[in-house]
Amino acid sequence: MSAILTAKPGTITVIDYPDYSGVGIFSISGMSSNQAIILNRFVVTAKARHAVSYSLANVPYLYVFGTSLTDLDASFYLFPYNNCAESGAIYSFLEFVDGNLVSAYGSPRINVTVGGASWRGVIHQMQIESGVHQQSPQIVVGTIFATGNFL
Amino acid sequence: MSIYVKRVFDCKLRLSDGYTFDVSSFSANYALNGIPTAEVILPLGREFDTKLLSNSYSFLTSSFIDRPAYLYLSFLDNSEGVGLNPNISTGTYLVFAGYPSNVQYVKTADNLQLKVTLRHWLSDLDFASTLSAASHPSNPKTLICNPKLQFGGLGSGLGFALAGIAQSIINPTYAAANLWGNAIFPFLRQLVLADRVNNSLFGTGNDCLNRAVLRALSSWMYSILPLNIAALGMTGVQRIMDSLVGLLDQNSADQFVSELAGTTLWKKLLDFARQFLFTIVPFPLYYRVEPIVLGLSNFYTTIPASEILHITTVLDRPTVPTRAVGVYGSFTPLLGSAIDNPEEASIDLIGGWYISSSLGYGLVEVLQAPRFLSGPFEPAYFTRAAVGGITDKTPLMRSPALRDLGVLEVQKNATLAHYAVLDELAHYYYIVKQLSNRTAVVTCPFRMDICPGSTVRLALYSQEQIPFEDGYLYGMVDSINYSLSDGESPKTIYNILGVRNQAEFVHPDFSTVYHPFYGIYFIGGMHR
Repeated sequence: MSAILTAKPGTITVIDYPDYSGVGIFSISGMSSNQAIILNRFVVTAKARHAVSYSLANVPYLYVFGTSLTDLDASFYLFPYNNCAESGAIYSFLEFVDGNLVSAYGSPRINVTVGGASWRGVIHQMQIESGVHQQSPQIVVGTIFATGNFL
Repeated sequence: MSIYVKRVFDCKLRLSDGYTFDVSSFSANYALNGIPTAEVILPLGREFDTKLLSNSYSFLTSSFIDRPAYLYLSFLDNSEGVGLNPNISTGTYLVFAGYPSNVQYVKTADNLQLKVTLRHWLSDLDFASTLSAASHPSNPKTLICNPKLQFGGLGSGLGFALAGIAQSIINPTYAAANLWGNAIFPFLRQLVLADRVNNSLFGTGNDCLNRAVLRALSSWMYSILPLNIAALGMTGVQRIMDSLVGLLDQNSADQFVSELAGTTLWKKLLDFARQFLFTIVPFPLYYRVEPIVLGLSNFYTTIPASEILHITTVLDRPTVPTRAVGVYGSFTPLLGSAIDNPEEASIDLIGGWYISSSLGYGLVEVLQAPRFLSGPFEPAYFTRAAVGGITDKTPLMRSPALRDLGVLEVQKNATLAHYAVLDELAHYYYIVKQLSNRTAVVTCPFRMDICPGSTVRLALYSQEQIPFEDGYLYGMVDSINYSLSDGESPKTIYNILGVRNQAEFVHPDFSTVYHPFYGIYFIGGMHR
């Protein structure tokens, strides 16, 4: 991949190859199907709300309060060009986030499928960053930070 | 390594009429001779899945002030491989019972908080004036309010005598067996029942709110205060009885009714506590009245190192060491000119001493005995020589030998025959002075098995620790803080007074097993 990006930075060529597409371990409902957006990385963090205190005799007391909401972070490569034409990936990404940020009207939820498990939550933070790749600085990385829980 | 695993199952604030609120965090304080307080933080916003608004908002839209409220905290034990320790975070605890008294709502650009302050139900006593027909200074002689006899005093259609009021309530024989249950409580109860706030003017009596005052006053348990006849002697017992019975009599009546009219039942209760050296121990649902000894040479329970998360101790010696404490009472010989002008004839006598058995230096301090151990004694209490004997010769100022003999005789009788209790008092005061700068703050996992006033033993030694003395400290729990904070372990913090090490625990300069006035002492108990 690095060779391609070196040759034509910020450009992606979509190959229609059915047998290769649709691995589908991660999907977000409502996100644009713009083919110049590809999932790069996701992190799901589940936590228990707890506290540990140690006594003078080094006996630990673990207090469990319950399950915390699950954090889900997902990063996407947003390619500015698709076969040398503007892809609109960044615009699509921003539009999606704008309509689904929890502060939007109605506090919208997003539905995510992770490995077949349904997850529902809210996006509370977004970030897009250019210049991540030195060799192809036009590629933008968009990240959403969401909180929710598995259904 | 053994791990105690406790699931914080539930924490709720429940109001009497069916409202139940989730609680984010709370802090509750219990102190000896104090009205407990609590602060509760309630969650706001919307429930995540259902998007329903938190019902905590009803605190802002409804009037919950003065509605009975109960704060509960529940745990489930999920420990494995360790025996269940019922003292630590086990089961359901009623942490606090009272009323919402303050609702604080804070909303900023990035924060939202609803804090509810609760007042303990004991505050009902502080919400009621002791103003009554018998106690209001303007009432006893006021025909309009016709206060006579309701309080049991002597009176007539045209007048009202305060004398005799207390006699109708207090039986000296029974009072000596239980000063609280048979004397002080009935007296305070009578103050409530004799409430004579003018209903036509005020609309309700002083004990409004569904007789909350009477219910609060009556919500004591387990409390017995038997007078220590061995120390007081029959004379001392009689003096206490005289003091109680004479509360509304003679010269003290004017002062007493003025005090009553300007105070509350709670403060009156504290007055009695100070005067008769007992202590009010608040619980979530009741209170106790107990003879607490600061330097008690006995303990209720041991808090092992495995149950202490944090400890800070200050074992400071007094800035000025005290070598001895004396206690004096005064008497007024009711003979001769003293009858007409008793204040000039009042004679102070040091009747009791405690002299340190180990300190050969320091301050010699002399303190006054409580009011009821001073006063106009009968001449027979002292020697004939002291009062200018009736049949014997009066000691002559011109005869030093006779004069000194008289003084010695007075001192001897005052010490030996009159008040052994003054020695006990001197010892009590001495220990209080010795321990005044001895404090500890002990933080434990949440527990409610030790009430304020309990004397506890702290076992600081463990295999991992450097031994401290032989590992034990002793002290009396003065106040307790129960707290649950977001992201932190639920905790119980004990503020401990009179901290002593093992050697001091058995040393008479620091410890005793006697209360000067009562035949028993309070060792401690559960706080549930």
